[in-house]
Amino acid sequence: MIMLMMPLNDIPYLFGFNIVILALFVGYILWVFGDVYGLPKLSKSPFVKISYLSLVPLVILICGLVILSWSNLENEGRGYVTLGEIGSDHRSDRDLNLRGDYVVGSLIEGSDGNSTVFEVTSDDITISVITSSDIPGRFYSGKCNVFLEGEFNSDNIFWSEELTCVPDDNLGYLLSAYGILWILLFGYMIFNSRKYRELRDILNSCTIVSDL
Amino acid sequence: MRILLLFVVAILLSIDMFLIFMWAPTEVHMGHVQRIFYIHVPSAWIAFLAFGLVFLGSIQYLRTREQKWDNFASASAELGVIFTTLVLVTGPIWAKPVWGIWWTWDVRLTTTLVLWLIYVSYLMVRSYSDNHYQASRYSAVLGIIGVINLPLVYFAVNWWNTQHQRLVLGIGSTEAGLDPDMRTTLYFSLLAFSSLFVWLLWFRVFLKKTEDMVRENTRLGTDQ
Amino acid sequence: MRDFIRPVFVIAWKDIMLELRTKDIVVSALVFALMVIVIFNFALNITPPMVDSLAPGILWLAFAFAGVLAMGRAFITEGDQGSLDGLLLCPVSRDAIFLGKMSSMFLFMVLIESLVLPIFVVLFNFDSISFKLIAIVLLGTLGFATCGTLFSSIAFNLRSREIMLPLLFFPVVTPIIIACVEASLGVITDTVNIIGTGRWIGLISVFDAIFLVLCPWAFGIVMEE
Repeated sequence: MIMLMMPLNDIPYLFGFNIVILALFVGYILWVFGDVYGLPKLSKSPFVKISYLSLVPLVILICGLVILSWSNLENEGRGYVTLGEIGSDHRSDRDLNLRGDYVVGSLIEGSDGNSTVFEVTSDDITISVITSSDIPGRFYSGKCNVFLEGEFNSDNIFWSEELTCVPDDNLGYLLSAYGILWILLFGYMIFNSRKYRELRDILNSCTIVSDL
Repeated sequence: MRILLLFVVAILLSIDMFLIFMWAPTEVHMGHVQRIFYIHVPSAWIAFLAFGLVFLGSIQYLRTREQKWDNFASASAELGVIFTTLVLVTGPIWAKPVWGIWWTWDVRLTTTLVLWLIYVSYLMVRSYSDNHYQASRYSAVLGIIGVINLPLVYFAVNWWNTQHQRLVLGIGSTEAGLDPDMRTTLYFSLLAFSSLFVWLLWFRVFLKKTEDMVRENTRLGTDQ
Repeated sequence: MRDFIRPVFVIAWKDIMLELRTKDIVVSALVFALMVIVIFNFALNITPPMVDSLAPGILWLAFAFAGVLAMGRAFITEGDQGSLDGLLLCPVSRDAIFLGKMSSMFLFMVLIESLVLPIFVVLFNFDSISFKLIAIVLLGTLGFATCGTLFSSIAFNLRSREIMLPLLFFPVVTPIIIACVEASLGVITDTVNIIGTGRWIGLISVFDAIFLVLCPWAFGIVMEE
């Protein structure tokens, strides 16, 4: 198992972004295609229309914000490391369930009785690993993906190493990918709304003519 | 009733976004960029589903000549093209930071690209036709040919790749060694996207039905 | 059976006669194919070590582009003269019409290719044309002709027909192009491949078989009035 950490500083913003765009999407659909959904006739005042129709996305937005802040609240404070062994081919994704927990430092009992001590401070990029075990391991730290992989020396030898931060700057790609999703959906809806407006005008004029 | 489906979609998508960003674990090697996976893979599955529906709709249209099947097939094709576009765009966006390359002539990617081209030409045939009846017939034929052609394209590209020992992206291995939490998120994302697809399909078919109504009314008007 | 075969011959013969008089399609497609080979030679900057691996691709590109050009012309003359309507009025099954047009198209393309191949061998310094290569060319051309006739009948009725034919044709014909190029590569260079030439020829045959069944049926639907 693991021992890790990860404050997700930027990901919550991406989550909020997606929720906001989703809310706008639903609001736009209700705005343009309101009569398809049988929304009751509203008074002519645009102010009323806007405030009525924006109720739904606002609800979604509020729920999203609540969830956001709840998950952040959950991650506040300092946690501690769970016990477990560090395998050689270990994937540390299990670790990241302890979101936002900072490792203050603790002792880990290895499976064969060896111990590994490590310490990570919040914004520091220097990680000291003091170990007396033979078990290799790897972990993340802070905002950076710091890989420390390899065999830790054995038998009461302290080993410390300064590591440079290899930042995970790829959130731009993530944002653009989700942005493309929304652009495609919005674009499709705008294309549909244009068609729909034409159709609605024709249908209305048909009824007018037939009423004459 | 109609509005219920829209709200179900909205709620499922919201929960899905939460799972993707706040709940799913971060991948070891790829970092946060891996979260693109949760829209890339469901989109691919939904796109293939859409093209399967085009096939079924085309066959049914040619058998019964009822307009509703043509509406169903063409709406499905439009959505299929949209989701395939999403796959083809998010794929390179994911591949660049992770594997360092924008594109590779991997079997799945190439087959998706050819599929996209076939169905873009399907949509072009529809819009370039003289009348609606002609458009329906031509696109039904194309819908059937497109799907039947797909296995051939897959085998041809697969053997071509083996022959020339091209780079095979480790997409398969990502799926194989999937963390249970990630798998849950993936399946839920699939559910959310499916509901989105169903709603979009219903919506588009509804618009097409309205179009048919208008077309009939106008025709009746000119007949008199 | 005779009722079916005879119209096929008649329609194909009509097209061939027309072509013999005007020499419209074959000459222009032939010149275009030669130009493609020359231009690709310059564009790809072919040096002697690369010739063996690139030559089959250039050959099949020349065939594909020239074929598209030829097929585009197939229905245009028909439609402009109104003879297509006349053809459809005949008490002949649509399959026969399709096979007739496809046969004439196949013959034109084979004629073009039989003139291009020797020039290709000369330009790229190959030893000779083996029978296997001829077989591959024939099979591939059959697939081209089948799909091409169907798609040109579709594209003929659309706006911007010149661009719709390549757009419809090339994605569908991708397996044939890949298979033909790989098979030709195997035959020309005689290398031992992981995927044997036999498998590629098998793929072309399967493609031809499927589309020889599919396209006449689709043609019948396309030609409904």
